[in-house]
Amino acid sequence: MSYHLELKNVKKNFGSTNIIRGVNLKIKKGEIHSLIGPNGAGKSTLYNLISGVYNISSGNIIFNNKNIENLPSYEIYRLGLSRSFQITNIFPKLSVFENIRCGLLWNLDYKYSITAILDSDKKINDKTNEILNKISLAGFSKEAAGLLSYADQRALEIGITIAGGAETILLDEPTAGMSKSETERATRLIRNISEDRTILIVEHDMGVVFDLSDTISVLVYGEIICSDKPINVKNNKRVKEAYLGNFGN
Amino acid sequence: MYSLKKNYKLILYFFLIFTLLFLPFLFTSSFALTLFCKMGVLIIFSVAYNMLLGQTGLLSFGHAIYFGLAGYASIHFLSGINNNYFPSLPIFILPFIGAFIGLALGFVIGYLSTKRVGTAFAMISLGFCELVTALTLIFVVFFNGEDGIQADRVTGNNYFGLTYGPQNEVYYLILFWCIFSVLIMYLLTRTPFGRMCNAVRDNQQRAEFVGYDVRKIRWMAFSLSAMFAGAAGSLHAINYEHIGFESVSLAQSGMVLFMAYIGGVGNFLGPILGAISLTYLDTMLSDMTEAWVLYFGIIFVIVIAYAPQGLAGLILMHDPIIRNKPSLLKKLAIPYVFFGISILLLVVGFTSLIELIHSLKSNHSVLKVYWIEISNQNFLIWIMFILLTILGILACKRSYTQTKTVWDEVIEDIKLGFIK
Repeated sequence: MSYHLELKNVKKNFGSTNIIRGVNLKIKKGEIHSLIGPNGAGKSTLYNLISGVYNISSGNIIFNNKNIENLPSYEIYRLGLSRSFQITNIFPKLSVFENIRCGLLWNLDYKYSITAILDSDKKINDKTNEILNKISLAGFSKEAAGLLSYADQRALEIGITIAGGAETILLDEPTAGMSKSETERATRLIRNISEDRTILIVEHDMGVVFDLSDTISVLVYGEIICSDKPINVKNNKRVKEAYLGNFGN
Repeated sequence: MYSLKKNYKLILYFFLIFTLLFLPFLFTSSFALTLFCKMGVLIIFSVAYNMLLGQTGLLSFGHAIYFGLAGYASIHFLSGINNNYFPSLPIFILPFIGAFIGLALGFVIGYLSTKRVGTAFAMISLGFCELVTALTLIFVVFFNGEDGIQADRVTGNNYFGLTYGPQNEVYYLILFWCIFSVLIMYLLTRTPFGRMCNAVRDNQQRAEFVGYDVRKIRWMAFSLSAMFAGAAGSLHAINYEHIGFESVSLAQSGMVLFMAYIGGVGNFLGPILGAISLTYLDTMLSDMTEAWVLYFGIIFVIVIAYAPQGLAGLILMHDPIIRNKPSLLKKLAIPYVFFGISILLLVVGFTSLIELIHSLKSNHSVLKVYWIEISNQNFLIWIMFILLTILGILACKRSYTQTKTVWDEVIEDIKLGFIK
């Protein structure tokens, strides 16, 4: 069986420190796949390897039957793999509307155009509004993104991430630092966008993880120790050890 | 409602262009015309520079290279027309050639320098600026050293009956190019490229994760900005019929940085305001006092410290009030008047003191400040201006706090309106 995104024996060391020690990960098309693990396990590093922020030391990353390891980030994005960040990563001085529209440009084939006047292009503006409605930020479209509340900025970030129509999304702690009601809103949004997409998600809130995921992989000290259905992961002995046996009741 | 607002803006622009067309009839002195020409050239240059600084977030200390080198080339083309190498080349085409030279140089130097951002980028640009300044003194054949080169612009064929002999013909040439290039630069900000420049400035990593090679965006911005700087340099050369090494130097690069900053880098119109006001001050102050460089520096420091968004920022911060509750502006009027008077006190006191100190270097004991003759031997005069300065500082401090309190109240009022 071929997988949508597959990591084969991926290794990464910074100097002599091995951060990722031979990760094998298989993600099926259309699933919500969660990546969990204790602090310092290498989750963010793994994201940065997949999305081309860092080069890998050895191994293969295969996306849609194409090797993507060590490609620049923008190339990976153009192949249809988009990501959000742990720290809010938006364009703070641009308006909320502009933020989303920037996310649409490449996939609507504007490239580096110096002749298209965006304000008079109905198609891209309609599409932008559609996404703004989807993330419930239409009311703020003219405000500078940096002035939004934290939860709204996170929603905007997800909006930028999905705007380009990427079919595969990596989400890095989308609910970190949120209140309960904000978390619920974010979870709804993720479920909403997952309909026709493959999603890999790093998350600390186990409620969210078990609520959303089709598959859960557990990363401990740079290795995947378990990758299975939520119910099986919950009962896995090694996972329990790694988490001191007290999660997901 | 929206279309009405749009039409109102259009009418405003037409009115502005109309005024600009008739300016030479209102101000007939050659001094005024020369000043307008200089302003026009520097408007193009500073808007081009802001494409890099304000729009893309790249601080360059060497943008005069493209301005100056295009100027040198234009002077050589002018002498080429003079010496019948290409006698039919129209002079109004020269800015195109200057723009092309700017673009070519920007393309090459941009390739080398846009690999880096931030401090490294600024340092590379500084290096190139010093390098080119040194070249002007070394390659005497092309640059003619410290003297620079001259050429006569009244030459070649007179297309449309234009000889460029009278200054007002040069004014219209510059006006045309100024409106043309500023319009194009404005339209550029509305394109995908222009928007991505802002995106790269705001967040490089995110820009990559919407599919853009940020290096390429920076490189494009650099080249295009150099292109318009080249057009400005060409007009500069035509205007003065002379070009010297100072036009590629750090001083010229610094000047355009001042203009963009004091005008306001955050807004497209900022550099235009900066270019107009600083060119005016530059010309006026340098006629009136030898200490003008000092005043210049002080203005720059004060703007950076107290109004980092520049003149345009100061004006535009009233935008939310005008949009939502214009009646609140009345509340601000009185504090503004007091603040204005305090600043005036401080300016009069401080500049008079500086002029007094400056006058000590010469043997003349009498000097003129603000149309009044005073003597620097008079002890009372010194005391008076020192007191005036101190009074000015205190008044400024007080009225600043008062203005700020009223300002905060007004903004609070508007925010409340949002919640309802």
